[in-house]
Parts: sequence; C-alpha cells; structure tokens
Amino acid sequence: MIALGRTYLLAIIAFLYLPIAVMIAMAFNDSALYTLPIQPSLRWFAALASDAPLLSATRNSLLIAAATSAIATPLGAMAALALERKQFRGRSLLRLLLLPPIAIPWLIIGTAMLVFFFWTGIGRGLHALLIGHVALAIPYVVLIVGAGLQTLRADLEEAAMSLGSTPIHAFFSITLPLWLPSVVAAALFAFAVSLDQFVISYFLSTPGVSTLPVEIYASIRKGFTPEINAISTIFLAVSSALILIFAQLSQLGGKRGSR
Amino acid sequence: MVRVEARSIGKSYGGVRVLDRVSALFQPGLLTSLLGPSGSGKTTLLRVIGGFVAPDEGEIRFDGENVTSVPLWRRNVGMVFQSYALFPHMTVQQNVVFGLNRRGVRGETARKETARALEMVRLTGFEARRPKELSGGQQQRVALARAIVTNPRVLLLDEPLSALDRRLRQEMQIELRRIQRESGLTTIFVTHDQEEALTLADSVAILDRGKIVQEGPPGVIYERPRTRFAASFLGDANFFTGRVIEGGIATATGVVRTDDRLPAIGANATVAVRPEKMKILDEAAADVAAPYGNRLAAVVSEIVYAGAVSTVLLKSADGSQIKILTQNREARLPAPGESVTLAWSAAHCVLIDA
Repeated sequence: MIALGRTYLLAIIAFLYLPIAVMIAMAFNDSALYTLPIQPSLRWFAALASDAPLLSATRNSLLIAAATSAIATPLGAMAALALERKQFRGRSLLRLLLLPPIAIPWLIIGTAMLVFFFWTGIGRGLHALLIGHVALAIPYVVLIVGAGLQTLRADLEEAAMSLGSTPIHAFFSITLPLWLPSVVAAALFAFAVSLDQFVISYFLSTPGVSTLPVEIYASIRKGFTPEINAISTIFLAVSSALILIFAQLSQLGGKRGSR
Repeated sequence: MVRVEARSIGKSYGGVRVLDRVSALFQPGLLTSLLGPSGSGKTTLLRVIGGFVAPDEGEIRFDGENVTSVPLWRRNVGMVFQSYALFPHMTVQQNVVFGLNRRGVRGETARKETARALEMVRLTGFEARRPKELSGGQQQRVALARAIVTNPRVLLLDEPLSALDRRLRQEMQIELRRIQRESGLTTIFVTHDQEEALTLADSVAILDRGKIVQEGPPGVIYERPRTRFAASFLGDANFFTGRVIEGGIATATGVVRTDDRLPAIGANATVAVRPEKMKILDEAAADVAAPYGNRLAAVVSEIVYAGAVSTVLLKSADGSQIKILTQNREARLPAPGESVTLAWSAAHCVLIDA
C-alpha cells in the first residue's frame, strides 16, 4: 500500500513538472527546432539581453511587483490587525467581504477595473497596473497576516502592559517580532501575485507599457522562439524561490507563535 | 504591603451583568481566593482590579488611593495568566527582566533583582532557556518570577494552576504559598477549585452571578456557610427545611435541632449539615446512648469507597437523598439496602438563607 501511494504521488508530481521540465530543457538547447539530443547552449539567454521589449517588460514586472508588495503589505497588515484585535460594528461582514475577490474570475475583475478606470479617467498604464495589482494582493495579505495574528495570544500584549509597557511599546516589542515572519511571507506572496498576474495586466497595459507575462503572450502570438523558453525559465526560478521562502516563513511563524 | 479595595464595581458585557456592584476588601499581605463557578464574574473582578478592564461603575483603591483611571501600564500590578503568557521570542532572563527595564531599572541592579526572583522560584541556571524549552511547571515559575520581580502593589493570579496535572498542581500550591509569604505581596487568586481555595488562601470570597455571597477565612466559610449556594459550592452539604417549632425545625422526617438562633415560631427555616459531621450509629456499641441532638432513620442506597474515606448515600423516609462521609477506621460498613440510624450534633446544624 505504501509503495502504491508513493507511485501515485510520483505520477502526480511528474504530471505537474513534465511540461516544465521540457521547457527548461529546450531553453538550454542550441536547436531552435526542438531536435534531440540536446546540444547544451546559452544562446537563447544571450539573445534575451538584446531583446528590448522583453527587457523593458521584465523591468516593469519587477517594479510593479515590488511596489505592490510595498503598498499591499502594510495596508493589509493594518486591516488584519483591526479585524483580529478590535471590536467594531460590521466586523464579520467586512471580514467576509475580503474573500470574494479571491474567488471572482480575474477576467471579470479585469473587465470591471478596465471599465471603472476609464470611467474615472485613471486610464491604462503602469499606474493602473499598480492600482489593480494592489487591490488584487490585499485580500491575500489580510488572510496570511491574519492567520499569523491568530496564533499570537492577545494576553502577551496584556502581560507586557502589566509590566509597564505602553500599548505602542507592547506592540513593537512583543507582537511585531512574533508577527514578522507572517508579514514577510505576506509581502513575498503579494510580490508573487503581482509577478504572475496576466489577465488583469493584459487589460490594463498599453501597447508600449506591459509586463512580462503580457509580453510573453504577445511574443507567442507573433511567432514562437526559444527565447520565450529562456525568459520563462528565469521567471519560473524567481517565482518558485519566492513560494519556497514563503512556505518556510509561514511554517516558522506558526511554530514561533505557539506557546 | 498594600490594602486593595473594590467599591461597588459594576460591569456588563453586551447587556449581561457580569459584576453586580461588588465590594471587597483585600487585606495587606494576605492571599485571598476569588472562588466561583464559571460565569460568576471572578476573572472579570480580577481584571478590573488589575486595570485590564475598565468597570462601568465603582472604584478600585490601592491603600486608599483611587486607581480606577490609572492605565494598566502605570498601575504596577503583577499578573500571572492562566496561559502564563510568557514572551516566546525571549529567554527566561529577558522575560523576567522585561518589567524592571520598563521601570527604568537596568544593568547590574536589574541583573541582581532578576537572579533573586529566579532563585525565589528555584529556577537559577535556567536564564538562557526559551519558554518552549521548559516544562509546564517551570513556565509557571517563570511567569511568577516575572510578576513579582518588579515588587508590584498587588499580585494577581488567574487560575494559574489549572493547566498543570494534579501532582504538579499540589506541589505548586505549596510553592506558591511559600513565595507569597516570602514576598509579602497582597495577593488575589482566582480559582474554581474549592480545595485549592481552602488550602491556599488566608481568606476566601465566594462569587455567584456577579456578587460576593460570602467572604472570610476558609475554616469559617466551610463551617459556617451563610447560603445554600455557599454551602453546596464549597464542599457538600445535606439540607433540612421545615417550619420552626418550639426547640427545633419540624421537617418531613422529624424535628431537627440546632444550636443556632432560630427565627420566630411558624417561620420557614433551612439548616445545612456537612457530610462528615453525620455518623451511622453502631447499634452494638454504647454509641446508641451518646447524646447526639439529632437522629434520623435512613436506608443505605450506595457506598463509594475511596481508600481513606467512604461516601455513603442514603434515602430518608420522605425519599430525600442524604450523603455522609465516613473514615474507614472501623472494619464494618453497612451494605446497600440496610436500614440504619444517622446521628449528628445540634452544633453542626448551620442555619442558612435558603
């Protein structure tokens, strides 16, 4: 039975990773026509360096992802703090309203944003992309840092205050250090959400200003080159690294927060 | 040593009256237990005294000084939480020194004070450990050291022993008593464990539905309960209710005599008798002639053997259940179904408010 379970799991992992493995292999293959055996080469990576639209899209992607993370993390963290620690009218309703944006199809959110941004005169471009990505990332941040807060007992702050800490000192000396792993995890997640976003980015970008996923999509439509494999491989490495760090941190947060 | 006073404290949560104008006096240097079932308001009262919760009405006074509006962080209380609430990212040393640092005590003085507190709770040598590397009992001691190191005006303990297993709990009760005596701090201890309240406290206050129903030394509270609630919450009791007649109370099963002053003839009255004060008469011995004020015929329904003592459950003629506690000194216990005569002294019939 154990052997069967392991085989099953291996099959699933293979199913998940096989296409990706092929793509990575072809990124390092000298031939543009996917011929085997693989001739190891870095020519597609070298070609990337001179692909101006792709480079500019990469820069935009990283810029927006960093800015999204920098804006969505504090906003979401403060929202989570209010939801978890304060008593006010409509709290449960507000908490509930944070969830649907995660489930609403991106196509619909993207359409809604496009209509709204045109109607309000915000228009399209980098700033619109940033606003869209921040809105998209906030619910995830609230969920992640909120879960981190829940493992932190409120009586820790009370203990600090009974020992002479003002509420602000208690927050910064007790709550924040214990909370930090989930905040950092949320920041990474927000970064990844922005970096991986395609649909909304596609709606809000302009022909000159786009993000990497949009640019890759555009390139594929023009005609597939192995350069796409190369940039996708880099992209994949960055995303995977972020998610792995996130997994480590959220585990750490849970362990440290528990008594 | 500080005299702590609560003056007609009222507190409601969402329309539910948790504290109903409670007044209480906590004598300097003594350990007082707040005892009550869950929902009686005991923890809320403790939290109001400490400044964790603001009362809707009433005042808290430390040595006569009104501290009701002094915020928690300036009230100078030591609190031991039910969960201990140790700071998990700090070592034992850092946990204990925290309060000293907040009060401006640093460097060598702080180090010495911390060492002294850890010595008092017998945790010298554990300074560099983190809370999760300690056992439950050790965490409890760190929490205690952290609460007393700043020499607070009052030490508050919120069911601090409830998370420990029975053996460790008994050990910690003795330790706690020693530490409290050594530190001389006015101490208030919340518990729902009646045995703990009796063993630990200089004084016990019994709470019921947001009110203190009785307050006094453990011996007095146990021997002279004033209400049915106090009698049955702290220990067990048998109740006899009837109409007052000349020389006693006429109940369904006969006249019950008491040494207490009875109300006017014709009024209703109830007395409480502790199970260990009642005894099964031994027909064979001279016991039968002994001058017990009260006698009652009953049938044994069940016997619960517990080593040193046995609990005997009986039914009297009117069908009401009676519980007695007997030491397993004599060899013979009656068998279920056996008819026996119970006897007890008039001095042990305590008149209560029904």
